[in-house]
Amino acid sequence: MEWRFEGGAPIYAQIVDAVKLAIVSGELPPGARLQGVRELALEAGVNPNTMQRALSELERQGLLYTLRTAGRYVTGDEAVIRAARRELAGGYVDAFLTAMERLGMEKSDMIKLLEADTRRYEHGNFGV
Amino acid sequence: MLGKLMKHELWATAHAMLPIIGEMLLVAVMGNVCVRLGNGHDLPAAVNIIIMLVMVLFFVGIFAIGLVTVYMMVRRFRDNLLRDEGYIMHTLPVSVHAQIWSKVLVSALWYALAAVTIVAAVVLLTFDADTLKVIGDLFRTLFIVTRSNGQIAEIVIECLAMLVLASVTMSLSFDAALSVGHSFARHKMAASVATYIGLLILGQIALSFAARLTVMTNFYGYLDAPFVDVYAFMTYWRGICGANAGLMILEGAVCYGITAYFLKRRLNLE
Amino acid sequence: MAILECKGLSKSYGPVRALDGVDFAVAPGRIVGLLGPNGSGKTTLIKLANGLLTPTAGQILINGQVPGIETKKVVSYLPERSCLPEWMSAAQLMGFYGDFYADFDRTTAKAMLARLNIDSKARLRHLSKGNREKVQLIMVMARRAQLYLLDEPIGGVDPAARDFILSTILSNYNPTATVIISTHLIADVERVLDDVIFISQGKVVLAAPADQLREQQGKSVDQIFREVFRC
Repeated sequence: MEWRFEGGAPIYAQIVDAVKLAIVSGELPPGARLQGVRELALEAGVNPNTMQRALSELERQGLLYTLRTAGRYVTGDEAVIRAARRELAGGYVDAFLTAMERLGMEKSDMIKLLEADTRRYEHGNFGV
Repeated sequence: MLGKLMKHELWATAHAMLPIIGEMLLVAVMGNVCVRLGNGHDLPAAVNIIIMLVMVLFFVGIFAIGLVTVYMMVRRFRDNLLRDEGYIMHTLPVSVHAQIWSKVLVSALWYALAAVTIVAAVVLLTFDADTLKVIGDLFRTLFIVTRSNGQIAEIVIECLAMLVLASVTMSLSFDAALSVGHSFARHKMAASVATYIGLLILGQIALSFAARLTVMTNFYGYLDAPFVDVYAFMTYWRGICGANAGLMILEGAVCYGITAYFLKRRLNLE
Repeated sequence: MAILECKGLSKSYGPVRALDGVDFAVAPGRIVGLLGPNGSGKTTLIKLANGLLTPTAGQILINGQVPGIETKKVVSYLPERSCLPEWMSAAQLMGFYGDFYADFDRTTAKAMLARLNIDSKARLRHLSKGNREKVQLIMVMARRAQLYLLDEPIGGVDPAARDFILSTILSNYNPTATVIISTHLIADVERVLDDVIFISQGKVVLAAPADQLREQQGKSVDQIFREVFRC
């Protein structure tokens, strides 16, 4: 996982997004075991309390679960992962639309633009 | 914790002092060789010059070693407690009193060792077959005298005790001056020297009061018995020693109080 | 109980007020940034907590006690300047720290020295300046202390050393210990901080959890710092 923090969003929220992205993209597959809080905090270079808070938030959202002693795992529930994917995608679409509106693009222009960008389809990278 | 501080202090000072003592003794041994060479031999000029240099080095060393020891101890106190290393020393979980005592006791030890070194160096310089006999005779005489009259031994022990007390008091007066001087924000060494001079003046004033006190109480009159026997001498000796020891203890206590207060309350590390 | 508490704490050097009525408390288990420009009173505050200075007014308490022998047992202090005796080797220093601090963990210290390839037999005088500073940090962080007071640990070091310092702080962190880092280089430390205390001209101007500040103001702590201390 790559850790990069920026801007004014709380660090824990940025960690939540980064882990969510890793789960949705399959980098952390369903059922995968996560490292301990200390190791993750050290890897990300953040305060262990902050990492703990982010992981608790992910548990609350159902993306992670804890087995009492064995550690923390990625959920096996595909529905939850799909929901997370939609949520992340929604965020990107939101950002995309905001940027396009600022450029003065109409909805029809945007659709044309998306359809014209065929390179990505050919590489099979568009969407997940 | 005093023990641990002293262990560390001894180690840190040995580091600087042992080479000095070693060099002094080495020069003495070299001097001994030179004396033997120079005795009744006709030598080339170059060798004579070397012999002379060694002898000069020896006598300078004998006179300097005391001063060097004092300098080393003063510098150690300043560098270890009042400069950068003070950040480490003053955050150790030990009392200020343990800090001061460790410095003072270890300093006294080195002063004593410096004195022993001077004696040893002189013995080494003049060492030959006769020396052993002379030293042997000296100890034998001392032994016989102390056996017949225990008070001689007491006087020797009291002399040594006075020397130790004097070195402790001297250390404390330097420590007090440094502690006061380094509580200033700037010109710390100048302030230390000024404080030392101030302490000397105060000491003199106290001494003149003490002198007046001895006149008023007819202290010397009380001592002024004819030296008819060793007992009369002992009375005189004890009186002088006691008075001096009292003054030194008083001076030491005042300096100790000043040092402890300034290290605890007025510490001002850069 | 607060591990560190200041009550109306003031310190003057002659006419200069270095600290002026400082009040705050730090809870156990937090990593706290003591942030302020040079000369704002950070070092004075840390020296007071170590008993290296005596307050002019008010109080500073560690575990409810004024600084003294008992507090020094549980406080591990990294001074702003390098101050280890240079004639000693790292091995000798471990002996020294082990003698005086019951909580000094020699195994940890040895492991950290080995990881940095620092020769523990070499006198500090023969090490590079950077390695000397690392040895000092290792001695401080190898203690299992309750309160770590780190005065400008990342000032004037290169990025690799900065990463080493931050990862050392994080990897030696134990959840009941408190770490206070004083610095003016906020961007480098902000992601390790739980709480921030902004100090300016001897006064606390802002004290809050770091993520709360970021959330409320939508800016990084570094940006907020720049705004508070704009020249």
